[in-house]
Amino acid sequence: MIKAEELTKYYGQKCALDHVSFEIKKGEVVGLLGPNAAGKTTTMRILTGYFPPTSGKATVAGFDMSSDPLSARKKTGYLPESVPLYMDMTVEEFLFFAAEAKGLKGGTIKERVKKVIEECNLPEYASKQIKTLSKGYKQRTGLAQAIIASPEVLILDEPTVGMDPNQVIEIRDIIRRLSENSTIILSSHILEEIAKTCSRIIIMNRGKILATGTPEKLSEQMEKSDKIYFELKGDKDKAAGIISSEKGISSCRITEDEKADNGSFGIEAISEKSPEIRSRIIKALAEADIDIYQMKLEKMNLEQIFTEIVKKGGTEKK
Amino acid sequence: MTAILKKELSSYFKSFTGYITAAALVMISGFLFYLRTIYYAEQSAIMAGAPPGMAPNINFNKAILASLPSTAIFIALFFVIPVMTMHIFAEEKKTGTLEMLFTYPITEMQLIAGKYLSCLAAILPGILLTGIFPFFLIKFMPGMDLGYLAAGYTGVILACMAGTAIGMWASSLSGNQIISCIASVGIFLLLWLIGGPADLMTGPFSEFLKAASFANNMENFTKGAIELPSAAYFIGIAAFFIYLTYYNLASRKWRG
Repeated sequence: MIKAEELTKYYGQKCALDHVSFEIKKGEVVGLLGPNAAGKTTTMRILTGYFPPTSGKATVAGFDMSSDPLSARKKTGYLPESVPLYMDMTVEEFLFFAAEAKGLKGGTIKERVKKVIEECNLPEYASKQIKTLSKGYKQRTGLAQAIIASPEVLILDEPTVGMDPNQVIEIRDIIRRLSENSTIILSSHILEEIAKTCSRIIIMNRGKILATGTPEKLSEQMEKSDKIYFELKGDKDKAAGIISSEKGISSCRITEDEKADNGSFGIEAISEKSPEIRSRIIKALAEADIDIYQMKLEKMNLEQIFTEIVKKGGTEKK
Repeated sequence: MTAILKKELSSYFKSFTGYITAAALVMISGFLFYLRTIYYAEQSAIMAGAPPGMAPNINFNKAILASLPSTAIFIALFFVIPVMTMHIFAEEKKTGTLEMLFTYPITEMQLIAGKYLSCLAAILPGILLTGIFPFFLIKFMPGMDLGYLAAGYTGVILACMAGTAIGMWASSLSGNQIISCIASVGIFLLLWLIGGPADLMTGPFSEFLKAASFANNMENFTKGAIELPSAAYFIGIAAFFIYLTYYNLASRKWRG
């Protein structure tokens, strides 16, 4: 349904997307995950036909975005991150406009407007001016405009950003319902958000794809690594230095400062799966006169996997 | 394009800007028409009492009818058009709705056409209304030549087409309406005054300045004739600035 082939985009000299390729099948809900400036919005803008890539090819709903963007746009609904709306219009007027602008005709317009107002839980607000609505309802109105023409592909840029937890749950429910009829691609910099709505995750950073897979697959991938927790007493910086300098340790950070009861501190490290590494660290810490109160292996959660992948991606680039 | 046209027209009719500018325009034109007519009546009285050969040579058609479209286009260019066009793209840029429109199945040209035509449709009725005053005097002025008015207002329509295109282009430059307004007034001033220095010089450059002057081309119509080169001048300016607007909007594709 969506195919990106070697998409590259330059803003002047700055490379925003660097040979990005992926494919999304019909009915999939895919999350683009990455920190700010990862290239998520640029990817989405190319897929919606807002601008073309510097090189590469994007195909949406079977239409080439470079040669036939208008046909592709007819099959696509897009909600930009800033949720642009005409504040002086009522919800209904805005949706009538969106429907007509997207090429719907006559009686279909009325029918669709009524349907999306119901789908997005907006009946009470249909005749209200958009500027009087709360952020959550504005977001729903934005979503309603994106789905007005029954798009085959729905592209949502940070659909829950800046919303309170209740609003996030409501929007998530709407997205879940929409996924029954559309292929959805949504972006976020919050992993939890993506993991709850998407069947597949594409992790991006600095214009590149770092990893792709289901949340479970990504966890599996990272099971090749161990997360080790140390509770130590002694010179904090020295301990952190010893652990991070050990071969096979990809990251190391102090998680707890001196505890009030016993004066110990905590360090978390990501290491290759190898008992020898742990053994070497224990020896080195003992030699440096650092007391080891505790050492345990922990399971990594998705957030840590994401941080780890982004970090590795960044290191590789350097 | 119809969707854009309908949306824009409804927003013009919903907002008070259109009504207020049209009312101000008609009021100012009406007041000036009144002053001129009074002056004309006074001069006519003097003429009636003056010895033969000494009467001032004034003509209602030239003095009053020709001045109406000149006044209308002056107020249109320096007040109505900048105010009515400044939001066209600047506001959409500022609120981000332009990004949304570019992902709809609409081409840049359809978007421009919808916005341009609706803006013209909102501007022209108020401006054409300033031509209504002479009709109240038809009974008293049997020699009134409405051809003057028709030619003059043909020029007004053409100049408004050019002016609206310039205003729309200025609005596509940034997301700030004040900048758009100042930019369009600046261009109108330049095009209006460009003919002035031409009187002080001779040669082809002087001819060029005269030909490029908004005021000179408008004057050709207010003399009571429809001049094709002047009509081509206004249509050419409109087409040029519509193209520049298109270029501005489409440039996101290669500028990113």
